[in-house]
Amino acid sequence: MNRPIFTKFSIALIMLFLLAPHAYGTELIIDSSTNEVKVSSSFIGTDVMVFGTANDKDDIIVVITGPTETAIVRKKGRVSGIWINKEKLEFRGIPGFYAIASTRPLSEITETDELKKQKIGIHNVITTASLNSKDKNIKTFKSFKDALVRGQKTKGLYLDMPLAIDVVSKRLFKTTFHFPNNMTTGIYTVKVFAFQKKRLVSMVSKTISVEKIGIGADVFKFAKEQSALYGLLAILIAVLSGWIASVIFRKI
Amino acid sequence: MHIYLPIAEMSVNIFLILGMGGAVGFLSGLFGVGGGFLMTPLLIFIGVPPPVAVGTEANQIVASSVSGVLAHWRRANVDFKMGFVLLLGGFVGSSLGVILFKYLQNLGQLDLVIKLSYVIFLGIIGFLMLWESSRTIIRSRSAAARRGKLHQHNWFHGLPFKMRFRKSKLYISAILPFLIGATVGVLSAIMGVGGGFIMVPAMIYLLGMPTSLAIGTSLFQIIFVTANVTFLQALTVQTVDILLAVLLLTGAVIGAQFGSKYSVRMKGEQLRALLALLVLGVCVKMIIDLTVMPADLYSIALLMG
Repeated sequence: MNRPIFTKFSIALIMLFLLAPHAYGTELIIDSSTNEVKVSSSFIGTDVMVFGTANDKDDIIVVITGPTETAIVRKKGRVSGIWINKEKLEFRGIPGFYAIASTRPLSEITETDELKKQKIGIHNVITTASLNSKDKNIKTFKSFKDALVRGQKTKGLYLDMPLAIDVVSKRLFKTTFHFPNNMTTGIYTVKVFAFQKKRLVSMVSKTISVEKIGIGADVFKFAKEQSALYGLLAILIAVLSGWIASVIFRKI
Repeated sequence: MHIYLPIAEMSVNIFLILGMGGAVGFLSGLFGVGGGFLMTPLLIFIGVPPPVAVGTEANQIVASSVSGVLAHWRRANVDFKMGFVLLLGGFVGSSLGVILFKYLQNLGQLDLVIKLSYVIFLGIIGFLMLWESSRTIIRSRSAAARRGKLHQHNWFHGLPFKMRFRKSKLYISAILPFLIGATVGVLSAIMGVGGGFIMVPAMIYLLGMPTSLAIGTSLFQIIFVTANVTFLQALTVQTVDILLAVLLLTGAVIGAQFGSKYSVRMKGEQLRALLALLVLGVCVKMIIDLTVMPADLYSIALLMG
């Protein structure tokens, strides 16, 4: 699995060194080990490497954001001995996947206000602005948001603490993210920020598409687009299997 | 070996699913039940989203009921007229159930209702079966079996729309089987079960049908009710995973054959007592889930877009 990544990485490495004289200064160049993650029926997750060149004095932050989703977070309460869902808070337009890596701790790279402005760090992405308008300024926001981040983190979908970035040579950096098997399909955005003396000097981005391929993709598409036919097919398969099983085992 | 389930959107170990199918299939062959009441909680336990577990299990039950009903049909153990009345009720009930399912899902109380339904119905059925079977075991040891009446006359024999069910030797109002079918239909859609464990006792004790006919007839109508649930879930919420269903039923079909071979070695009342304990076990598990403080009070539901 890792070989194509490293082959591509080494080619890119040579390319970057050739380009390096031009890249010197504030220019930031990035690429990733893949532009398309294919979710086939044997998909168990994959690693994606993001690498690039920057000015050797730059601090780098790499962020990967997945397609947006709506999350409903519910809190259980006890009602006559039974734990049932009571309060709920709806978060809109939140990323289904969020991963971050940085050369140093975020607080050393830049000011909190700048991180907020650039929406760096999951707690600056999910804010009260993500709430449904009627829920705004709710007191319970923080505990519900923390629960959301915690839940997504357990599933491998969020990183709240940045991963390390390897600085390979003076100007070359690389970092590897894990895409888990339960990630949603769609367009993922990679953003790389370069900071110097706590000031943002450069930002570049690219996209990685995550898509289902093979029989799984066909089944998914079929189920969503021709639901009635899919339902009938499911019944037909079941009836046939039941009949075949009965015929086979009667003879044994 | 892992396989990615396209609708559940997760990858699972293929042997785990086959093994679960086999184990539940074995028990269903042993006890003559569909096994949905075991499989759906198991699927949820390994991380399959509850709506997918319910929709897919309905699909799998179609297959196991077809193979079951064919065996009973060969022994002429299906009362088609009774089955037809039951299934009319079943269609109405399961359609209402799918609507209720979607409503509860939006309300955020689906899990609660699924678990409460399990507690209530498994609790009642398990307790009744345990009581009845232990009484039979005790009686068979003490005295010779007495022959009871074929069935008792109750208030419902006064209801209108009387129909003659020749095969079951019954002349009763069609309203009662219709209501039984409808009730089980609702449960079938919400709990992801065939409902045989409720239907069969209801047919025996409420309608007064002979046991063998009750099992065959209930299987016959379960095919159509679970097919209806499968279709409606596929149409409205797209939660039927064909791949998962095929894996489950492959395991279940093989397991059921071994189970039914074992069952002939055991006495009926012993089997019923064991099944009762199993049913009560699942019921207790659900009670614990509902009453013990959860590790995380928060739960997250993600929607696309």
